[in-house]
Amino acid sequence: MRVFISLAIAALLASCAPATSYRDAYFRSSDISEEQGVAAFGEPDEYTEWLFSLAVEADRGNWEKVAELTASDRKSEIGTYYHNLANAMHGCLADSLMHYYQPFERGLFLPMGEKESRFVMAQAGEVWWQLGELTMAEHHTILGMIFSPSQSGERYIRRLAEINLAKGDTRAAEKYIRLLDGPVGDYWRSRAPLAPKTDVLHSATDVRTPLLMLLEANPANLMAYEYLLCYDLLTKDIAAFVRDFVPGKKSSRLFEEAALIYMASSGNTGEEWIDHFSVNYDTYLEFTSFSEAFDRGETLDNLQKSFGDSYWFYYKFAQRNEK
Amino acid sequence: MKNRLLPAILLSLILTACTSSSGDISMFPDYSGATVPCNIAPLNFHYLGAGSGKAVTTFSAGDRSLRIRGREVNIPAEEWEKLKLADTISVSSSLLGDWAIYVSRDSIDRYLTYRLIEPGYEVWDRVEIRERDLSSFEEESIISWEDTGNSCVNCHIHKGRNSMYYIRGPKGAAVLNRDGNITRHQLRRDGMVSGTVYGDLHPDGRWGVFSSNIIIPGFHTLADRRLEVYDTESDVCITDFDSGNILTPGNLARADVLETFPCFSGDGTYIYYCAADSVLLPQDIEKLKYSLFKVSFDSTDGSTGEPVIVWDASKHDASACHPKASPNGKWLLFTVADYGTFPIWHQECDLALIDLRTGTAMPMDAVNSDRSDTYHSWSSNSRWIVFASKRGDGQYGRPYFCHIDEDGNVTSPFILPQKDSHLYEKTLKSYNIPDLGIISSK
Repeated sequence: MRVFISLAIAALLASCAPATSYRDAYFRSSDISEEQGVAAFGEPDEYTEWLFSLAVEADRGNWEKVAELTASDRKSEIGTYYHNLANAMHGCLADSLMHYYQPFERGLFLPMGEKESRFVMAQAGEVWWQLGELTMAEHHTILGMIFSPSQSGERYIRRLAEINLAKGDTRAAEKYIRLLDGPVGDYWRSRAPLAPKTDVLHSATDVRTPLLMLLEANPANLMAYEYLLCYDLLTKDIAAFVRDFVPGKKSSRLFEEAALIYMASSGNTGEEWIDHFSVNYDTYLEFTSFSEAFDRGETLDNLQKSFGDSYWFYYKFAQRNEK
Repeated sequence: MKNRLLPAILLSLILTACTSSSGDISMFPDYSGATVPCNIAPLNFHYLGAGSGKAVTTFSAGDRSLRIRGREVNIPAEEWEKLKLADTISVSSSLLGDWAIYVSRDSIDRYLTYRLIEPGYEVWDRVEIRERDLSSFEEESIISWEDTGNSCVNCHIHKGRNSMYYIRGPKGAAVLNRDGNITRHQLRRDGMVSGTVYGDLHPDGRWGVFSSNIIIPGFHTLADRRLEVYDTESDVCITDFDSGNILTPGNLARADVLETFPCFSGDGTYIYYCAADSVLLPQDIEKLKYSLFKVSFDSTDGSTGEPVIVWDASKHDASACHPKASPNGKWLLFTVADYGTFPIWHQECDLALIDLRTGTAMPMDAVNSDRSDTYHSWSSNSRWIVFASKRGDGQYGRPYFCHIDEDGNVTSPFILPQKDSHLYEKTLKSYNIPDLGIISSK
């Protein structure tokens, strides 16, 4: 009995010992040995330590820390993904969007495929989990586990347990819970009510359908609403933005700027459209300045200096890097 | 979060270890009442629940007896061989009472192949096909990612002394083993919608019947439905492995019909397959319902007759997949789901059995569960089937076996025994497409 208690206390102390780096913490939660880690991610360096810090702090739910870690724009898809997600968790995705590198929609929903890195694959499910889309969250979590060097890991198993608890699939959840060292926690309860109630079949690359279904189930899911409109705008689909926009649902300078592009191109410039999109007069004046500068052939550098953080600049000049 | 709460968990464990509790006792796997083949490996299991460490389990058969103490009931192979000589093994458990294991004199094909794969798709990593010797716990890789440059390998099939599997991708091929002679085949010709996908080998080894499919994966927004796969185009073709010719009969490749999942009858004189009228996809996926058809097949020249319906989807308001004819020609086993052509995530999917002599549907209630039961295979003596079932956790497919007698009576299924009876709790891979074979595919 004394031996048992001593062993238990030793285990307690070991479990409480902090990881020495984010890399260590990530490897530990993903059941990756150092040898596997070096083979998959290379030797430790500042950049990969930063990548692991994003995944670890997001996994812990420390979104303020994630925002802090991504404050400096490193012009990377994964950095933007976490920056956007941290902002979304604070309800300011749209307001912050144009102040940061945006690789089109790839900073909202990480691409999955043979060309993507294992690390990217492993992180792609986080946004779906936070949005409440359980099918996509589960699918991406399983893929993340498949592409983890160890094809296992506590972080994936715990997430799968949470997803299945949120779904109400207790048998599946029990499968994963039995593999865990500790309890799951209660966060999954907040995801359960968000799940879509209508069944629509969609492809893996179709993100609009699950977002629309999330909103149909829960119009108050403002995170899904922001992601939907930001997806429309980052893909330069103004028509979709106009269809998806709900007056008074959420105000953002970003939406005003996009609305002005629509109004200018469609000729729908009446008072009713101003009210519909809640366009402020100051925004209108600045749009006028941008349009005049653009029309008179102002240089790209000058336009960027004056309007670089505007959606208008993005809409006119952002180009996909096909590489 | 894990580190802060783990101490509390350990503390509670310390406290409960000092107390006694009756709790519920159970066993896993549950082999009570199972009918097993005479050449199966030991049925190791373990007890669950407080106090299960004190279990005493006694196996008796004839004048032989074996007593095992403790939670883990691992039967020594030599003792198991002796016990199996009897038709009935009586089991007495100090915790769960008495039950019996029935040993059928019908043996099962020695080898079971399956693909170990996570229950997800779209991209893959480290896929392999493994072969298990059912008379022992020996298992080895037939083909793995290390052999294929991490290409996908799938759709392995056996027929007598022949077998086949695919290596997908740019350097892939259909790898055919005809009685020990290994050949690679490119099974695609101009006009086919794709290379071959699902198929079966003719008993004579010369012919193969395959489908070619444009396969589209999809995701349900309703979380409990998870994944769906459907074909936008599919046709059936026939391959002559001697000449390399691929035949594409017009009545098996109609533009407005989705033909798929072909198989030969036991004597090779018929081809069974599934077919459904095309619908708008993915919007009308729930209207996509496949019927079962058969056409005559002439193995002298590969010619086929006209389709005859065997099972009408419209009459059952359901969809059939994966027809597999028993080698003795008596039975057709297939799966039935509410709709579609990919039942693995359909919880309602069940196995169905037809008597080919009378067209009668045979009762399968003893076999089916409340989760998908699919991907079945016959033993060469038509007495055993194996199928992948998601009963249990509902996520991971496991191989289950059941016996079918000459009248079509089926026994309750039992799970593939493992040396470590905890393996199914630990593994995060499904046993995909379990397939029985009389010779090793290695």
